[in-house]
Amino acid sequence: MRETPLREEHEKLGARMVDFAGWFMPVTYTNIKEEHTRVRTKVGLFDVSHMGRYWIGGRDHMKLVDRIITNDRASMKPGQIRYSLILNGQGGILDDVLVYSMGDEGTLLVVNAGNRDVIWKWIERERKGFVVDITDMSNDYAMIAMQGPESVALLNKISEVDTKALKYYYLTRGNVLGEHEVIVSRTGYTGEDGFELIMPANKAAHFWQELMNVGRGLGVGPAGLGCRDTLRLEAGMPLHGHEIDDTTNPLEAGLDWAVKLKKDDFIGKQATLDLKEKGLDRKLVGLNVVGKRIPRQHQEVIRDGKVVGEICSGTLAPWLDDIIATAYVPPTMGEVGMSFEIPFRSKTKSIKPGDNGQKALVVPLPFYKRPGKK
Amino acid sequence: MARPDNARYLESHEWGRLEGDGTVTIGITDFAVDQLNDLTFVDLPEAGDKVTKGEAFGEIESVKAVSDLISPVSGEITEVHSDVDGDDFSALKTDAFGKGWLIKVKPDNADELNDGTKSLAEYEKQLEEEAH
Repeated sequence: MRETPLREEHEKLGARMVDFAGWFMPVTYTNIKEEHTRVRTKVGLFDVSHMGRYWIGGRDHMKLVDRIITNDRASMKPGQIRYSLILNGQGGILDDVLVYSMGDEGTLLVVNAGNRDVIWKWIERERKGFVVDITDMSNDYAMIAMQGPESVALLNKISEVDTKALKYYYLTRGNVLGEHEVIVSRTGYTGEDGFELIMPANKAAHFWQELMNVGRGLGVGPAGLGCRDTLRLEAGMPLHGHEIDDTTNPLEAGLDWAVKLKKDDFIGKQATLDLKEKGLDRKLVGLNVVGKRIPRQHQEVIRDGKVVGEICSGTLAPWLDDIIATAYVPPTMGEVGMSFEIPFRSKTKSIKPGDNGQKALVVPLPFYKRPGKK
Repeated sequence: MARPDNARYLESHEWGRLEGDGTVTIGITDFAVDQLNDLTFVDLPEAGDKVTKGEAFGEIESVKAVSDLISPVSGEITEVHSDVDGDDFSALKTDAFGKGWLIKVKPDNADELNDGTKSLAEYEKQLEEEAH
């Protein structure tokens, strides 16, 4: 199994370590609810070093990036970050990525750990004919996410970065803990305000320890992959392998906003246009489940006794204290309030006689929005 | 928490203990409770239901996953722990081998409890190996 430069730190903190996409990663340090609540109310630290960091520089970097991503690289301001998808020729989603604009110098792509190899090979294949230099920076650098309302105060304690000037989905390179050129981005995967720091791999442990020490008065604590999943699901953010994969397309996943169909040709554009013309077979919805059981990926969604859809993710949402799920259902059944049943393998006492399963109602996505956010 | 040495253990982290009245009390170990961590639901059968050695008699669910509960004996359920059946896990978390019991079974053959199950020492050896 592969491991990040922070493995020892996790073990020192008593983390439960698991295999995640071939990586030896912390799932919890205490429990999901406590870590989740910390991120919603204070600040939590995540090791996200397992994600891929690919640098694309050279004369044609923007052209290559705009060929492989669905969002628009050319119109980005230096220091801007955009969420984007990478599609295959059929319009299926190979990965969802963050695109960091370093101006004319180059572009940094941050990709999911489980898709590192797929995306690297994809870039290698598509680079032909472009004057670019591509570098896999993933192993030379580590990445720590600090997420939660106190993350601004925490960053101010350890860096000279002007947090007031650093807007949501922008990055800066600055001095953090005496280390120059640390990439600080105002991004995250939790639905909270926060930052992600990219530092040299051999500095990661020092950063982690300092953040834990300096942040003590702010209520900082480590946060594992367990709460990363519950936080992102509450915030309605897709996870590749669950809501999206190479058999789903951006339109049915509700990600049309990240697909710029007016820009020049990109991989998957024609397929997406064709699909738009033809109409969708299914759409992603949020469900609020009445009952105690958590729907799991691939479970059936029933309406009027017929299987009409499939669950993508489900959890006990720690902050909302509700059982929530995402599912694909026919577009005609996507209105808020539409009701479904989700059958369970074993008998479940919350299911009334005559019902086929636990009741689930369509609710708007996201399930959770942080206070003050539009 | 001291694990009882008069119980038999399954590799899948259930325990069974033959009581003085001839019934077998079945539960899951403190290790299983700790690993499951964020428990959300326990689904147990009803008194009078039959259980089969090596087969699932219920499910235990956490935020991350659902696991089967496996019976160490065959027989008929005489009692179900109604406090645990559902979503109150306080007894499981504080006293997995006592107040956190799940079901009591009248075994078809009490000797079966020793077949293919582990002693405390063997079970703890398994836990050590899993930690590496």
